[in-house]
Parts: sequence; C-alpha cells; structure tokens
Amino acid sequence: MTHLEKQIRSAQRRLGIDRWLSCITRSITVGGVLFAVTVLVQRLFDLPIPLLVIGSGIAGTSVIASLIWAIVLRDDAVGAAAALDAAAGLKERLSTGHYCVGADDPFAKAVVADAEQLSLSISARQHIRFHVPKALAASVGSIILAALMFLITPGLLKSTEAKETADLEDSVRETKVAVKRKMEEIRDLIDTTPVLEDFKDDAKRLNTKSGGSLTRPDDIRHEAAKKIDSLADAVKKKRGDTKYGAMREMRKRLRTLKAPPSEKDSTQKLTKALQQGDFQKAKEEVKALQEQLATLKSDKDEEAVKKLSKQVDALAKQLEKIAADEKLAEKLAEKLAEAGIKKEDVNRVLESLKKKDLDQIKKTLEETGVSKETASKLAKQIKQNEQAGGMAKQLAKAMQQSSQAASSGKMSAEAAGLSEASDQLSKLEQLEQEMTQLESTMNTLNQAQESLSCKGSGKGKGKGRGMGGLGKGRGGLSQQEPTAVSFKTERGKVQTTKGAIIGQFLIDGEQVKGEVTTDFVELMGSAEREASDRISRDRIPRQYQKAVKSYFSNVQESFDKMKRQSKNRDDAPPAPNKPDTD
Amino acid sequence: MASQVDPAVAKAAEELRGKYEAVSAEIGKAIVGHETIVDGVLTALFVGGHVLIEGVPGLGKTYLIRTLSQAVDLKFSRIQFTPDLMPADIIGTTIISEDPAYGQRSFKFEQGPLFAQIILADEINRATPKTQSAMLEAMQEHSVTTGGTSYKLQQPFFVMATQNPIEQEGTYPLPEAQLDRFMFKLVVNYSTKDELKTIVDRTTAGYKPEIKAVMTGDEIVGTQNLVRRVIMAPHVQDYAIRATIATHPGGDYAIDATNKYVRWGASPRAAQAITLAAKLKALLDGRFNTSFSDVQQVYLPAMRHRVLLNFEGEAEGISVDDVLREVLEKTPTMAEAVA
Repeated sequence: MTHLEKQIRSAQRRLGIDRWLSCITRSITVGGVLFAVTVLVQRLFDLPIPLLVIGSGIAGTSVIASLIWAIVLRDDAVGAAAALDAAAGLKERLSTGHYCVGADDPFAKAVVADAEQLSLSISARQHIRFHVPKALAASVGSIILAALMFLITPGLLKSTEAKETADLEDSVRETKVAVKRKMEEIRDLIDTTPVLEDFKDDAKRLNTKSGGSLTRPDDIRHEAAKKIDSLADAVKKKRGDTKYGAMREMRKRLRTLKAPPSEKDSTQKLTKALQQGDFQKAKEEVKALQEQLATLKSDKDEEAVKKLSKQVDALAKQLEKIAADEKLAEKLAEKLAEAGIKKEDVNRVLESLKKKDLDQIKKTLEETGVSKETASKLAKQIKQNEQAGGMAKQLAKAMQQSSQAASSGKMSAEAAGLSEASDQLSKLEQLEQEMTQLESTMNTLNQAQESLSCKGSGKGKGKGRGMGGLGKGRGGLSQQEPTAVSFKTERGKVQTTKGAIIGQFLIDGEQVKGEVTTDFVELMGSAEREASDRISRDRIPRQYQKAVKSYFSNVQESFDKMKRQSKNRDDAPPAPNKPDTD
Repeated sequence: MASQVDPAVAKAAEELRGKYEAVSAEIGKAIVGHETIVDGVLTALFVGGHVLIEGVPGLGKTYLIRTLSQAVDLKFSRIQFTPDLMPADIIGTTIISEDPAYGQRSFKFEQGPLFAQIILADEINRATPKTQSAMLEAMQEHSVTTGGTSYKLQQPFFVMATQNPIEQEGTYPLPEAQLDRFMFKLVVNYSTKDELKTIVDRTTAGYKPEIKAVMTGDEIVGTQNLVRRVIMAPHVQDYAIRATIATHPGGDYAIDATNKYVRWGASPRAAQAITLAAKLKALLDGRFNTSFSDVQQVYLPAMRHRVLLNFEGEAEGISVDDVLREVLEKTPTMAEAVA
C-alpha cells in the first residue's frame, strides 16, 4: 500500500468516525424524544408499558441506526481524498493522484508522483479533525427531557380519564349496593305483607341480574327502577280490584248515614263509626250492643229491649236505603248522556242494569260507540256499585234480623243477627286493611323508584350551603277520576278579504305574450355602460374597441330617429281614408 | 519510495511558466496595472481562445493588445469597426488582375486584415451584425470561406475585440452566437491612484518602452497543446459542469437566483473554456492537475457574456456577475459536500 493510499484510508476512517458521531447524536435526539413521548403516554394513560425495556431498546436502536447510517453515508476514497485536499490546502492533488493511479499518460504519472510526494509530508490525523456534532446540544437536551419524564412519579401525571374511570367504578359499586339494599327492603315488605302473597315470585325477580353488564350507575338505577315500576303496576292493578272499589263505594255510601241526635240512642255510636268508615269501632259497637241487649234481657226490661230493637231497626232501614242506591241509574244515565250516547241507547243500558246483566251492559255500551276502555270502566263501576250495595244490604239484613228477634224475644236469633253484622264488619275491616297495605306498598315502591331515578351521577363531593330541600310526602296516590271531555264543532267568525301579496314564486314555464314594461332606452343605456366598462378595463381587444363604440353610437342614433318618427306620427292629424284608386 | 515526476513533463511545464512570465513582463513594461486583464488575455492566447474586452474609452485596451502583439512574434492586424464596414473589408475580396507579361486577366483573391495571427477588432459593436458575423467562421474554424474557396488561417489565430459600454447609440450589440465564440469577456476597470501616477509619469516624460518579441507562433501553439494534457479529475470536472448547468434556469442544479433572473444560461463552450483555462492555471501554479480553485478563478470571465438576464433581473439592476458569484457560492465542491 502506497503512502497516498494509507493517507486516504486514514482520512476515510476519520471522516467515518466524524460522521458516526454526527449520526449518533441525531439518532439519540430522536430516540430521546421518542422515549420521552412514550413515558408521557404511559404516565397519562397509566398503561402497562415496560419503560426500562423500551428505554434500553431505543438506546440500542439509536446506536445501531447511527452505525448503519454512518456506513451508508460513508465517503468513498475519492471523497476522502478530496476532503483531505481541502483540509490540507492541496488543491485536489491527492484526489487527482488517486484517480490517476495506474494511468500511462506522462502527465497522469506526474500527478501521481506529485501526490505521492505530498502524502509523505502530510498526515490525515493532523488535518482531518473530529468536529463537535451539530446535534450534540439537541441530543443532550432530549436525554435530559427523557430522564425528567422518567423521574416524574406516575401519580403526578395520572390522567383525569383514569380518575374518572376509578370514580365511575366506585359510583357503580355504591349504586349497586344501594339498589340491592332497596330491593331487599321491598322484598321484605312483600314477604311480610299478607295481601302481597301473590307478588312473592315478582319479589324474587327483583334481585336477578339483567342481561349484559351495566357499567354506568344511571343504567343500574334505571334497570332497578324498571323492575320496581313493573311491580308497582301489578300492585296498582290489584288495588284496582272491584272488591276494593266496592269497599270504597260502601264507605262513600255509609257517609250518608244519619246518626240519631240523642245520646240515649244506643245505635248513635255505631252509626257514627259506620259514617266515619271505622269498621273496627263499628264492630266494637255491635259487640257493645250485643252485651247491652243481653243485660237488658237478663234484667227483663222489655221496654228498653223494644226501644233498642227499634233503634237497630231504624239503622237497618237506613242501611237498606243506601244499599238500594236509587240514584245509581240516574247517575249512569247522566254520565252516558255526557258521553254523547243517544237516549234510546241509554235506556237499553238501563234495562240491562235493571237485569243486572253486566256483560250485556258492556256489550250495549260498545254497540253505542263508546270506546272499549270507557265501556269497561263503566261496567266495572257498575259492578263495584252492585257489590257495595250487596255489602250494605247484607249488613242491613243482619241488623234487621237482630232487631226483629229482639222484639219477638228470640234470643238466639237476635245474637245470630248481630254476629252476622259483626262478621260483615270484620270482612269490611279486612278489606280496608288490605287496601291500606296495598296503598302503603304503592307508596314504598314509588318512593323507592323516585329515590333511584332522581339520583344523578354527580362527581362533586363538597358540602352544599343550602338549608335543605323540600320534604318528601308520605301520602298515597290521589284517586284518578276520569274527566268528562266532549268536543263541539263551531264555525269561527272570520272574514277573508283580498289583501296585499305577501309572497310569490317565479316559475319556469311558457312565456306569456305581452307588452314589455322596461323602457328600451334603459336597456340600451345599461348595455352601453357595460360595453364602455369592458373597454376601459381592456376586456375587449383593442382592435375591436372601435367597432363596439361605433355599434352603440349607431344603435343610439337609429333609436333616436325611430323615436322622433313615431312621435311625429302620433302628433300628426289622422289621415283621411283614401279611396282605392283602382 | 515515492516516484519522481517525469523530467520532460516537468521541463515543459517549467518552460511554459517561463514564457508566460516573459510575455507578461514585456506587457508590464507598457501597461500599468490591469493584471487581471493581462492575465485573462494571456490565458486566452495560451489555450487558443479569443477575448472580448469591455471598458470605457482611454483605459488602455487597444494599447494592451498592441503591446501583446509586439511581445509575441505574430502577424498583427488591427480592424477599426465602423457602421459602414463591410464583410469584404475584413475578409478580403476577389479582384481582376492582369498578368503584365501576357496581358492575361484573371480573378485573384486579395486577403483582408483577417488574414493575420493577432487581430485587434476595435470597437467591434460599431459594425453591423452582417460584418460582425463575418468573424464567426474565422474565430471558430480558423478558416475563411469566400467565393466558394476556403482559406486556412495561420496558427495561432487570436482575436481580441474591444467594445465600449457607453455611447450605445449607433452600435449593434453582438449577437449571442458571436459572443459565445469569445473565450473570455474581460471588464477593464479604472486604474488606481498609484497606477494612474505611473501612467502619467511614463506617458508624459518621453518614456518609450521597448517591447521585445519573446514568443513565437510555434511556441504558442506548443503551449496550447501542452495545456490540453493537464489532468482534470472527474470530481473537478463534475464541479465545472455543475457550475455551468447551474446557470440554466429550470435545470437540475439551478439555484433560486438563476430561476429568478436568468433567461438563457451558458452553452457547452463555457464548460470547455473553463476547463482549458483551469488547466493553464494549474500549470502556471506548478501543478499537473486542475483544482476547484482553478475553476472558480476562471469562472466569471468565461461565463459573464454567456448568461443572459431576464426582464426581472434587468429591472432589479442585478448584474450577471452577481448571479454568477451566487452560483459559485451555492454550488458545492466535492470537499464541501463531504463536510
């Protein structure tokens, strides 16, 4: 190997190292930034990323990439020789010498010889020096950035999203617990309430999980509210049973009883209890009456017995009266008339009512054009009335039997009559209790549903400054009374007059023949102005400008001429009709 | 052991340098300053090119060329270009001549002033394009064709034209084809204070320089051949070519200034001129190879008359030299590319 080649190789090596230093600083810069971004992502999203492994991988990749980069960009011998020439100020003697090695031309040989001589006196190490890479500051900066990112504790950069997820999970957990508690309360209520015996299976279904996992508190609450709602519907349906309706009707009718004014009257308290709908008290009063009768009998105070039996009889008659409810047919006829049913149809319904044929009533109502729902409602109401009447009648019968027995001195029959009345009252009391239980259950379910559906998914945990909101009522649901609605067709007193046009459309269509309203002069003026504008803006080529100008001036002239002629014709006296010369 | 340079080659190169210095010294006896111009003129003479010298009147353009013609032993001819000068006035014309012995008449071609070795085309832009074009064949082919006969001109053939940048009225700017045939365009600037003092002293004190012919025509032809043997390595040649192509607007190596201000770039003759001139510079510098610096040294005179600015360049007052300097600055040498 000649000196020249040695020097060139040495230069090539040094240039390669210098280039590698430049490449590695750049790749470290990129790697550092990449690592910093990875750390940032890991910190932000709390991802399970092995940072140390990734860091080591990036560092290794940077070194390998820089080596590959440096090898790819490595200078060839001519490049290295040219760089050495430039560094040593040799004016391309070495690079040309390297090019001429092996040539036969005397000048080429002279060049090689010159290069060889020069290569003895110089050193690549002396002239090709390593430079401080330009990207050094950037690479140091990126390493510092990556280190800082790595050293930041994960908690500092934990994302709000992760926090939100955790909060959501907590919220879901809390909601589930609350919903479960509420459901258990409802189930306990159903288990312990005898009237809700039929709903035990429904209660069991309250805790079953719905299909699909619910991840939001709102969804969980909505799901629970839906279940409670369906249970509440069932309870409501039960509460709407005719026997309870009849009991309500009975109470309503009992309110019309008139208590005897004198306190001496033994039936006063019983009547008042019945008037107030307090069946328990009424039962007690019946018992007291029984005892009173027994005492009077034992004392053989027949006059007092007769008086008492008379008083009981009076009460029995009152009860019989309310059992009959003479106004029932009247009320029904009124309601049907309000619903717009013809009189003859109303009569037909009333006939069926007399026969106590409920199916027939329903059928007749449907035939008269009343909706199925209304017909069912009316039929149900009639049935309730019927049952209420029956209850009152039975009570009246028992009382009457007792009074008759007392007056005739039949002790056993009298006792049986009062016992019968007591049994009737017990039944009514039981129905009342059942209804109270049902209403209480409805209330509980409504409250539970409300408490579930009213909860938002708020995140705030601070204490409010308010003084408390409105309290929750404990009363039952109000009775739903259908409102009588009817429609009346009336003609409005409106007068239509011809007014101003407030809008119009322009449509494509056949052109209508007629007179043009725009003056020709206006059109001419507009066209002329446009042409002159185009001329001034050089939109019309110079060679055509003269022609355009002359065209418009000719049109103007001929139009003026035409106008003058037409004016003269109009002004001139009409010419006498010339007779045909031929 | 490092090999030695061939003594014959070393001697030839040494002789060339000697002759160059001798001619330069002879010119220096008469011409004060203007080293760059003298150097450019001699470079063109030594490589076989022609020179266009531009400068205001009175700067010694004509005197320089006349002095050169005295310093080399060549047949000199001066043509003063005027608007009424005709091609036949410079090429020559065919006349009827009568043989006194036999009284026989025949056509004979009477050679014009172009049939010389050093031509001074003074104020060349004053002649009409037709007359200017009469120089084309002579400059490129070193021959003259008239009346169907071609006449070879004696070697070396060297044209030095002058033109005045002012007084443009009544002048005919040289056609591009004509300009392209000049190897260099040299711009003569004003003399410095010291130079002017010397000029005044010499010309007003009865000083008459004795110019000796120090070089023959054959020697000049010899140097022209020798120069062509200097080695130009591919990477240096590549640089010269890239620097030439960089003047082509829209070309691969065109810089922004080229695309913005240049209408026409340099022809291949420019690259030839740069290469030859760079080779001579290398020899004069004692090297047998050309360098990037040689190319850079001759770039401006070889290119400035071959690049034509566009309207934008003219309107913005940009000179061709400005654009060329920017091209040189932005075209990297191989060493710069490596760094």
